Amino acid sequence: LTVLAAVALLAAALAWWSTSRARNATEFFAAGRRAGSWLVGLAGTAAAVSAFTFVGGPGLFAVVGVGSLWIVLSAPVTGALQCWAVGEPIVRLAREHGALTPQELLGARFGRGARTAAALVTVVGCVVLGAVQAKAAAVLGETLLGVSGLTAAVAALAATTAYTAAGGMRAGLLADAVQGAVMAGAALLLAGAALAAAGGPRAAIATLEAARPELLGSFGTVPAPRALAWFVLFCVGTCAQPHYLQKFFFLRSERELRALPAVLTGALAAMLAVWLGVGLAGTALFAQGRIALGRADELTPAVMRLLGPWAMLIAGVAVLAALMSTVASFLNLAAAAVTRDLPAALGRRAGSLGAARVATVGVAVAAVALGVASERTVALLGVAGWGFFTAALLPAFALGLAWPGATGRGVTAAIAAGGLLDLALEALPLELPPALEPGLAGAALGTVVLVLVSVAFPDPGPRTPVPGGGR
Amino acid sequence: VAVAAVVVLAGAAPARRGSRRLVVAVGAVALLLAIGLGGAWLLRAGPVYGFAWTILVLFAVPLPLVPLLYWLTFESGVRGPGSGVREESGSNNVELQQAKSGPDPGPRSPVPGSFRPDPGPRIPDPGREGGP
Repeated sequence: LTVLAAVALLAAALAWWSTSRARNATEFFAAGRRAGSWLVGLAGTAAAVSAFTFVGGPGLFAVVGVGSLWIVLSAPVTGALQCWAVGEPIVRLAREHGALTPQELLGARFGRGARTAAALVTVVGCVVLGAVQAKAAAVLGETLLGVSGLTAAVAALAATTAYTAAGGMRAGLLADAVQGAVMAGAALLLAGAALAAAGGPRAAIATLEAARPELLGSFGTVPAPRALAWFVLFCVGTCAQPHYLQKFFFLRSERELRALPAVLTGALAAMLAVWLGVGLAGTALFAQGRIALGRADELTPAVMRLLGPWAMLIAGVAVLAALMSTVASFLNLAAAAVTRDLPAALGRRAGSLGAARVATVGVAVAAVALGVASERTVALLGVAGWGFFTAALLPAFALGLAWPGATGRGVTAAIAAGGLLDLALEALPLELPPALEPGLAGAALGTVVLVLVSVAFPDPGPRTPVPGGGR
Repeated sequence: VAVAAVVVLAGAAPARRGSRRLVVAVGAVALLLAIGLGGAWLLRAGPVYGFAWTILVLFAVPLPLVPLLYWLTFESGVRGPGSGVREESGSNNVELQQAKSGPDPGPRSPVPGSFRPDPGPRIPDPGREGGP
């Protein structure tokens, strides 16, 4: 309760500080476009890393061993890959077109249809993933903080909503960066402490080699095709997550991109230490009989209990920071879609800043309500979250922004086809082959559709030149 | 497939920039990934060696290397395709209207793009030319 009260106080102070500073849409949705690579890198990593890294990841290691690491092995590549594939064109095009959000950029480049389709995908994905974070907050409260799940979920979402509604991403960026630093420090500390409790890395590996050697192969107990599919999905999927892409809009200049991959990669590697450290140590401790587990997700809380109250407290704060930073981006993106993009689809002007603040609160309430009311839907769509955004948006951002021949019809059709295929493969009771990741399948279909429709139906007429083209 | 997907995505940058250094960098990342994935496949049944290979070759080695390659090959202000403005009837993009009619609230890319196939002369970027 002390932790939650402290978080609420800090959130209230941040909301008060940022209300007078977020006076226009650029401040509210793009943090004023004044941020450097350090701030954006830390905040971007914090938004990218959810509670799953601290709780689900180590638990998954206990079940499938090294196979679980294929979800995070893309970390060294993703920072540079994002900047190469989508960051550079986004930063340049956002400046040229005055776009504030990913969906707005697609609208400026490909027209109203693409913007509307991207906005719908963003609203659905952000509300559902916000609901998943609300669920995670409830689990956090019960397992690590010792309060009821509902109390923890309402407190975490209310605190995040307070500063996000008041100051938009002007407040969100600052909070995310601080939360990112807290998460990185906590992850390194907890990983080191857990490994020390297991007798050090060598002892932990020796324990597992004797007790469960199958966990230590290159792919653990995961079929190799599935492990590779995870690697690709989480590698290329980073180029399609709107809460990742959003951070490129905050940079003060294109030159800030140069150091961004180093910051992103360093921060991410620090945070992922908890996955490997607690996962390896916890699995060894379980094999030694020093902790007991009912379910895989209980691994992190069990290790923290073994380490002592200080570890429980730090882990609770880190998980809280992880889910709050992720939720802040989702709330802001969904509010932008509701107040700017969907009105544009109906030929109306953008809503005011007040409307954006109300929409932020509305999205948060919808996320909590969905999280509480419909456990099955949340579980189903939460699993599909990353893949859904990958399937729907990867062709549009990775291929669409790089290929001059991409058209508005092609991009709109690609978003619809990729998103629908991913949802269908996730929802239908089919036994899919190990290598067939629904998100990747959707992205592949979307890419084919984008090319075919763009070639078959080219955009009519010349485009309007960019003002200030200088020729 | 994994290597191909990553290379295709990363290849979007060389396609835009046409820089030999960047092609070499992306090729180096692809080679490293190919070696790492191939080794992981060969060591899939070896408990400790598989774990060590995966952590060292696929994680620890590229961790500093890939961001460094990006740093070394970075170029700002390079023109790319797909930057034509599409006019939306009833557009509600206030910033777009401001960008067209008034001063820009933030710094612009040194070389604004257009959708014309001729890329035109590149304006020198002091930050890039004088960089480390």
